[in-house]
Amino acid sequence: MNEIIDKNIDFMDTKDFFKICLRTQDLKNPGSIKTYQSLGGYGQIAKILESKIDPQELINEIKISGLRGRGGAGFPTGIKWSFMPRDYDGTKYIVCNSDEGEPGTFKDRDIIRHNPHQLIEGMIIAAYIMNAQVGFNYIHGEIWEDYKFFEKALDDARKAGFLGKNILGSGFDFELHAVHGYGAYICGEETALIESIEGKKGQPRYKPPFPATYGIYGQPTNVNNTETFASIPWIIEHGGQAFMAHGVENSGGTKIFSVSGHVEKPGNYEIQLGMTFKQLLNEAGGVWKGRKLKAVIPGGPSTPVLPAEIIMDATLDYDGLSRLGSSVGAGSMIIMDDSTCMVKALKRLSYFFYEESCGQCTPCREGTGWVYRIINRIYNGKATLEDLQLLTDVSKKISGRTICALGDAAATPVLSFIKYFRNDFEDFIKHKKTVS
Amino acid sequence: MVKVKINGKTIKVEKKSTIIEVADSNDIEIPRFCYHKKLSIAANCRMCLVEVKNFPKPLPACATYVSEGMEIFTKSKQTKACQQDVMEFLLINHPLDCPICDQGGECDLQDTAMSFGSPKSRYTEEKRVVLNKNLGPLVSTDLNRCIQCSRCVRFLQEVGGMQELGLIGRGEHAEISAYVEKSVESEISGNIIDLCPVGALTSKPFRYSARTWEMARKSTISPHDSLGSNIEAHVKDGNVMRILPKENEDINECWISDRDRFSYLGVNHDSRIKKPLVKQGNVLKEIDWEDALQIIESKLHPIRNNFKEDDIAFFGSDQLTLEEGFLLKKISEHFSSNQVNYNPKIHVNYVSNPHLNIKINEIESFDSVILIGSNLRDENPLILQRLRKMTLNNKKIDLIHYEDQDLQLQLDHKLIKPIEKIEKSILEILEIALDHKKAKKNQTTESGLAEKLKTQNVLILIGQDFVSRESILGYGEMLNQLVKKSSTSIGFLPTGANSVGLNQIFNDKNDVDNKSYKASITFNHEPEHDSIDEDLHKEIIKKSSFNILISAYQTKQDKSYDLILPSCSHFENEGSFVNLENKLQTFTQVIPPKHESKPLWKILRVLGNYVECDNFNYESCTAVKKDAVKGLLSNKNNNLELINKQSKNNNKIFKFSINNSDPMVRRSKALQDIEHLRSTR
Repeated sequence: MNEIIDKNIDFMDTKDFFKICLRTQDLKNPGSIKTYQSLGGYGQIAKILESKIDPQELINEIKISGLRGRGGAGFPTGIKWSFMPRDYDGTKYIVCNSDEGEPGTFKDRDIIRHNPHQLIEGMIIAAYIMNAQVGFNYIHGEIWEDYKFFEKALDDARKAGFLGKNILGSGFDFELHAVHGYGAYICGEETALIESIEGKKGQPRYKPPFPATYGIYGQPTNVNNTETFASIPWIIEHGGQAFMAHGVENSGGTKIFSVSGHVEKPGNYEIQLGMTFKQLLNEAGGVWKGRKLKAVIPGGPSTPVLPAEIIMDATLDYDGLSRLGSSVGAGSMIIMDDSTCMVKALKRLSYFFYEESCGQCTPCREGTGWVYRIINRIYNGKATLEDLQLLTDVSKKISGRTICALGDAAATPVLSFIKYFRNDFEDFIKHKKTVS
Repeated sequence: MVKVKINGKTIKVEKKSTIIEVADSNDIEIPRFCYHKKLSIAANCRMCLVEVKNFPKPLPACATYVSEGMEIFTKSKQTKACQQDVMEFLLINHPLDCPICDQGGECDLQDTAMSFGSPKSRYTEEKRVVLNKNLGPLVSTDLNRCIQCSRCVRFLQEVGGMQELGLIGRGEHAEISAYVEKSVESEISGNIIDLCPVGALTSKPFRYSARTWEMARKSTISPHDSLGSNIEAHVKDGNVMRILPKENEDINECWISDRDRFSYLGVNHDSRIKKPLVKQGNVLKEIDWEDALQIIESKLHPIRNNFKEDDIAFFGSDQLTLEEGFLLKKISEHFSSNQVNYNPKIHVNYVSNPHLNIKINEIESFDSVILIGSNLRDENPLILQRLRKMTLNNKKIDLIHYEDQDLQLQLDHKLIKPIEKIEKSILEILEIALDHKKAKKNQTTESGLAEKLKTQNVLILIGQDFVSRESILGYGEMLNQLVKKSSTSIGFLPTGANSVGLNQIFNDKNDVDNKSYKASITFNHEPEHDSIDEDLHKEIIKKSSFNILISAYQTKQDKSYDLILPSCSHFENEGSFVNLENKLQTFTQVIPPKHESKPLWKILRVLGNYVECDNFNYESCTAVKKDAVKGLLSNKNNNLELINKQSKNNNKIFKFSINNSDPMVRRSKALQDIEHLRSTR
């Protein structure tokens, strides 16, 4: 049996797993409008439209809930929404960012597949709050089936009168469109995503101006992650306090962690923020094949890796992980067992960022290729110990100097891998292979 | 105004300026590649990163607006580290082939690497290879050298009005490319050569022919359109090697058209006339200048040959300098001849001294421009560029024309009808605008434009084609009323380099009667291309007893002349042009005359002596200019003066074509190649 599992922890305490975004998951026909409505779905937007609730009141509720952007940056959603100029005279847009393309991310896909109507209702509420007329759900190009499924969900919502002109006879208009990308990671960056929706090449814009003042076609635009939007109906229904109560201070509510890698039961786990890492690992069946844990990337490759001895005591919430020098990110947790070759793992991650750099600004365009080539050289046994220093130097030169965060994302794994697993790299360079 | 501190020094600056603008105007150097003051901001090269107090990360100076109390450090440790690091990144994939690169010696990358880079690179991996693209006959590519600054892409899209280049591919594979199997065909595309901060885009005709430090730089004025672009000729061994724009914010800004840039290739064309030629039987025989002048004296001396009034005809060209025009005028007066066709491209002006009436740089101050007639893309691409810039600033451009024009800009209203109908529409618009007539109930383009004239600050630009049509007499007075009543301005768009100067010297009299003359002189043009009435010219030459051609180039009709004198091309000549805003610009000789050709003003001056003109003892072009400028109108005349005269005008319209505008342009191989490409699309 797995030694890692600590018998003293009551990991089966279901209180720690509370489903909000994935609450239809275990029901029959989870993605259908019927199932969602059986849970009271679309009741919130009906209530809001009927009693014309003041949007400011709703924003306050979201602020109380402690909901933070689930795409990775963790910016408080209520504050972000209050940036939108409500009285702006002209079209405003809201955009759902379902362009999850980083290795190890697969939570938005499950929301679209299992609970699309909660997302749609969340977006309608958001449109009502920010007085937006048009919405887009930008779906990653490599999950075509889910894109088609979402289109069908939109059809159902339209037929039921939740989208289009004069929604539920309230005089409020909102149209939501599904857009699919073509698989470029960079299009998950909000301004590149906006460019892509406009039909241009997906390249991030320099900020400021931020999308709230200059977004799609130069109009005010609000971009949020799928999970963020999908949390909204529940918050409105049960109140901000109730959502907050499912998390800890500074990290309200539940969050989906997509656990992958060397675990027995990889998959999406919606947890209450603040849960310990041990509990989640146990829920995922522990490290596979009875092996020991070596390292964990807690929030996706753009968040720093943590070695087993550090992550073991972590609590999974924004503050908890940032205290340890990492972050929640998008919750794309990659588990690595003790047989993992860190050089090979970093090589694969660096190749990803090298391949996905948009090529617009110099440090990222030139630096990601350089970094990948050095690691590749290490992997091929053609490197010296000085190359480790060079690798760190080049990564630091990329970090903080680029238009968007991809540069930082590319540098993060390199710097953290070398920080925690320097010995692995030195041994590999000396022996030209992994020494286990 | 806000107060900012740069390197410890406090300065007051405009609130809406970027750090790089502040630095530039205070002589503080910030290196840059992608930033260009005339283009949109990309912030992609990251060379201009600077440290700003209280910001955790360095900020791009080109894209960061200053704010009160901002403290900027352009020489701090962090800034210097950023510069060195970005430079290192830029050079890892750059081939460093400076010794064989045309840009060597005038390369931003080279210079910046020397001043801001580190002398050593730690890059030992393989370099990227990018295949070159064929962008047509003007621009040559070496894309291995490209640093993806995207200046060329932004220029063609924003200034050229058409996205002809783009950055395709992602990451390290990003490369500049044109559309599949397409070349770059904008009429101002050559500017991307100047914009390219490295040697990725270089001039195809100039390639490998000279090094920047080998050439002398001489300023001159472009002779191909009425804008009078300021240009710099780079000269080596008595030849023009290339033409570059000379910045003049009031005229051409920092751009020139491809015609201005590549016309020099026609200077040394095989068809240059080397020596004076005289017709003997059916062949042209080379003779010496002395003998040629003897022939002129014997054939043209007015008293000896008993010349009466109007016994000699002159066919000028809109490229004659002010001095040449003035001497020609004096000679024609000496012969008592009114038979001067000083601008063969037009029949007649129905408006006295048509010109812009405002300064070129004032065009953009209007809310809206209504363009009536003209073929602006061919006639004056840089004026069109200014209109395009206006549309980017949310100003409106309207087009009223007798044939559809693709101006590569977003038009507000477009009114295209056959010529007679469009003239009626113009009348209608003006009548409604002046409340002489009520607009029809249903909204028409005409009433929309009239509404605009009533309410907005509008500039009406009228092309030469409409100035030459009698119909302008019908609505000219209304235009005057409109100017008085509203904030509308009227400007005209003459086409030739010196159209405005010649119009003034010759008082807009531009007629030659169809009859037989004792003699005719044709200057520097080819009637089959440059004349609105080629047949008239042909007939007169046939009927007249002694015909002289003074030209730099042989023409197809050579054999119809009795005497041919070789004159200089523009770059060998000196003189002055009056451009479309009535600005006098003088230029000097750039290269010595080719073969035995002489500057036209000198030929005219000597010719005047041989036929015994009075007061013809000018010793220099400057002396001629002194007298010539006396005939120019100095004050700005807002009221347009109509010329109500009977004319043999057959209402023909001259069709302008950018690369067929004068003999030199027609002999520039690169320009003809691109013209061929365009016409075969």
